[in-house]
Amino acid sequence: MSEEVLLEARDIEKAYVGSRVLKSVSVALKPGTITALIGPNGAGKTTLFDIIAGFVQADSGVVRYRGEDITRKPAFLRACRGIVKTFQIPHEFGGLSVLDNLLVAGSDQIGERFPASLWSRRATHEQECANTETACGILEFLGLLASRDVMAQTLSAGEKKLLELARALMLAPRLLMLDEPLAGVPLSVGEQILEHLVNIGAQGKTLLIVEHNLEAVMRVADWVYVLVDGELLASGPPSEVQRNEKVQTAYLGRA
Amino acid sequence: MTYVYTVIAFGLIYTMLALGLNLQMGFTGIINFGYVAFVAIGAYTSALLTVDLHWPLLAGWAAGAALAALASYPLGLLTIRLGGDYFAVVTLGFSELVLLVVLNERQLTHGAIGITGIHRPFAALGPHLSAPLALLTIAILTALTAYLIRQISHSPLGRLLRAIQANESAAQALGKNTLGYKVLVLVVGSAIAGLAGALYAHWVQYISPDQFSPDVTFNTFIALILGGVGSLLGPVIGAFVLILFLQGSIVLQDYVHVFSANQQSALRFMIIGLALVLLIVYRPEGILGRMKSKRPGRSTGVS
Ligand SMILES: Nc1ncnc2c1ncn2[C@@H]1O[C@H](COP(=O)(O)OP(=O)(O)O)[C@@H](O)[C@H]1O
Ligand SMILES: [Mg+2]
Repeated sequence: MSEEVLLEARDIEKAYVGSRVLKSVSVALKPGTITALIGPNGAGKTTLFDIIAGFVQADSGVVRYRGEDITRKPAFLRACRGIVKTFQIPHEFGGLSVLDNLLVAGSDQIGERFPASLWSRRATHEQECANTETACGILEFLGLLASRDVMAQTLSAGEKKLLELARALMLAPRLLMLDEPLAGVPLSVGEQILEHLVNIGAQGKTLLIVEHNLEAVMRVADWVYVLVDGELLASGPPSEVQRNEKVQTAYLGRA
Repeated sequence: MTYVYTVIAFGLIYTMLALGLNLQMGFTGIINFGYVAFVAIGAYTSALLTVDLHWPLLAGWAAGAALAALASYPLGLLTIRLGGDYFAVVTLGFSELVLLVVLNERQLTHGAIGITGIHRPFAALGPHLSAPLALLTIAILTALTAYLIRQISHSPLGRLLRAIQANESAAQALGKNTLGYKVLVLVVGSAIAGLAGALYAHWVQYISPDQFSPDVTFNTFIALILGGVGSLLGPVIGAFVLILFLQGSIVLQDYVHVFSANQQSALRFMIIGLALVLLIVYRPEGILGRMKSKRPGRSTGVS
């Protein structure tokens, strides 16, 4: 099977009580690339994310992943297959420590099986140690290591966004979808994150990013989709999209 | 002495009930208003199998727990995805349904007359020995249940359950089959309720449908809230505080003649209600709830 396209969403339609939020939107993500989805507030970016990740069902249209129709697959199965999204509004596990937030993300945990978790102490412990090491590495990179034992609900808004990203990184997903990952994050940290994202891309992972910091997005993205009022206004390499007149008047001009 | 035994036995049985409900509500956030249904299934299964079919006692208890778990499984599969409030209503309906079946399937359940002659553990040793030994058995099983819950709580599974309660979508986004885990928790909690029901039947030696009214669910919720939802020792404290209060006020009735029996039972519920309101206002985490982390406000330089 061709890996020309890792994920494809075709002719996606979505309406909420009368208002059409997505109008026959199609996107395709090539493996190992960074794709940016830009557009003004209310354009339908988050809705498209949710449809791709399985949190919202499209009214019509098809989502294909690695050649397979996943349109009706539940969200958790898509995540298991490597499609992981972050939430625009942080969905932290408030009563859990920052480290525990990351440890929850660990996949295939022996200690989560019941009743096996009751007697596979040794294997559970080893897995916990390995996951803790991975988690601390991610926390250190994102500058959260000092807060590892703090309850997630006490973090600032910007730190919660970083935690959201950290949890997703924990899964080392094949397709990482980030919904405004830099909103509220200090500039210097944001720069580091962008650099890391480029690295992840270089390792063959695929990224889809919604971001308002256009300058940053244009710098790292290989491909850009511009969504306005539920319609794809333009798509192409960043340099081309930036020159597009429709985009400049409809979106960039307004920014 | 027998009276003291009964108070302790009821305290232990309510502890067990609160432990199961804590797994569902405290750890995972599942609100089950039909909890008593699984207690009734456990009690009736064990009573009928041991009295009518002469099964050995332990087999009856195991069957009671198993059947309660088995009954909760399809219920969970069908309804857990409805989400919190709807699920709570459906479970309440389910418990009414179970009660109706028990009342009307007289051939099977003996109907309103109830089942008499249920054996206590160690009954053959005579009443003087059987009561303390039966109590000891209940205590051991309650301790084992508490240990099971503690192990779950401290395991990655417990962490995941708390994560699901905190934010179900986020857990799904991380690849967790949250509905599956909720059904699992419903089943395990129901097995515990079923076992507690069986122990109850064999302690009181006579069961009838009116012993399995929604009051049992209500009392278990009170015990759990009193002790502290989601805490490990809370169910024990809450159950014993509740039972001591309920039984104590009954004893008091023999000495204080100001109120009629009816007035007194109404008064009991008023006092419990008042205590709950005060507790929720002044100590929402329960008598023994988890302590809030007392860290000073963190610097929020980024925003
Ligand atoms: N659950 C919902 N019910 C009704 N309207 C919704 C819902 N989710 C999103 N919308 C609407 O859909 C439009 C697109 O929202 P969204 O996808 O969040 O846009 P964006 O992420 O581009 O800012 C908005 O007008 C929003 O109000
Ligand atoms: Mg959005």
